Amino acid sequence: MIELAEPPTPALTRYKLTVDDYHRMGEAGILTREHRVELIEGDLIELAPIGSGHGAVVGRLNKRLVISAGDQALIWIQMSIRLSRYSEPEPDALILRPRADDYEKSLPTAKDVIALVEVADSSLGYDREIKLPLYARHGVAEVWLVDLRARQVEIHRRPGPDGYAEKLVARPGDMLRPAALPSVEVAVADLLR
Amino acid sequence: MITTTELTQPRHRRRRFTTDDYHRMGEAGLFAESSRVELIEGDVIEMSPVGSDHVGTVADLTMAIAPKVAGRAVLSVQSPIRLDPYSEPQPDLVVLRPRADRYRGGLPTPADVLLLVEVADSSVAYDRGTKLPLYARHGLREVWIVNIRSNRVEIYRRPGPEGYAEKLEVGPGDTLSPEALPELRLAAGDLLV
Repeated sequence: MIELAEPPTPALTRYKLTVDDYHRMGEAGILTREHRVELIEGDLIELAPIGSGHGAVVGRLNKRLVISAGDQALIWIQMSIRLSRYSEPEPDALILRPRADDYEKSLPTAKDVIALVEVADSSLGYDREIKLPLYARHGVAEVWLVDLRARQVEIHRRPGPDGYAEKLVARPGDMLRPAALPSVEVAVADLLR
Repeated sequence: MITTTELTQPRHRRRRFTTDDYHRMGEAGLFAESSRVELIEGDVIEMSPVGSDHVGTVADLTMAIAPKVAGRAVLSVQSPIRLDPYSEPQPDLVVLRPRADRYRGGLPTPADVLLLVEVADSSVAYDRGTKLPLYARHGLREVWIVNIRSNRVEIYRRPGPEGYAEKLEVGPGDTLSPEALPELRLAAGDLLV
């Protein structure tokens, strides 16, 4: 693969896939279930296989969020969110505002998100350096980054073009509550045992 | 757009496209709004729209070469060649050995190419930095870069994994002749200004 640290000349660039291209590739069978990818700024990024540690934490998170949220929010696990014409990532969990159609007619966008969760082991660098700034630029209100190695959860709030202005760290003993819906809560100790 | 150097985690890589993916993407209607694209090491690269100097030079080359190789070789202009499962560039011009199927049965491969010519204006860094090493690795025996800005023709011969071992440069008063087709002799002045 060529390392395009910068395009070879300003006029020559890698083709940026749009979300429409991305879906057409799925419909045409070019991308299938075997391809674990997400669309980030026009590039298809290959995702690492999910390890058992990661899977277990996503499973616990799913259970706790669904129980706590009830009808106050929709919980989506490892499904897509449309951020822009060029970005459609698959975060580990989404806490979404309820919508009459349950997002059947169109994918959620940044404004639909109460909080977004990424569980990171080996992917921490990618989640922090690529995805977190992407979520901030598109105005995702709140991101929880579950750091399996450090056994803590970073809470990022107040998104802007240059990133999140506020960062808190929660450890076992602390509770996670989205600022926009504090009645939903998950104990860090229930995720990181 | 993400660059690979920004992806600090080696497990998260941009997906490389095969030539098969690339053709199916075209059939599915992708790239319809792009001027021209080519597949280089798994990346779809958008080529800049060609300027009039470029068009005129390619036309001069075509008119100069065609009558001299008629019956002995095949001239293909701004059409793809297949280098490997991840690379299908579109050089400005290639002179090909005759093939029984008249190239209906499959794209030209490196062994078919007697001479490859790129006309470079703003794209010279891309042609020299990215495409030339690729051509050398695939053993294309001779490449000419018609450099519009310097008004010179660069001749590259003796390909190897590290690049071309021989480089010559000629100006408007010189004669050009590919090693594989010594009977084809061109006045560089017919191509340069």
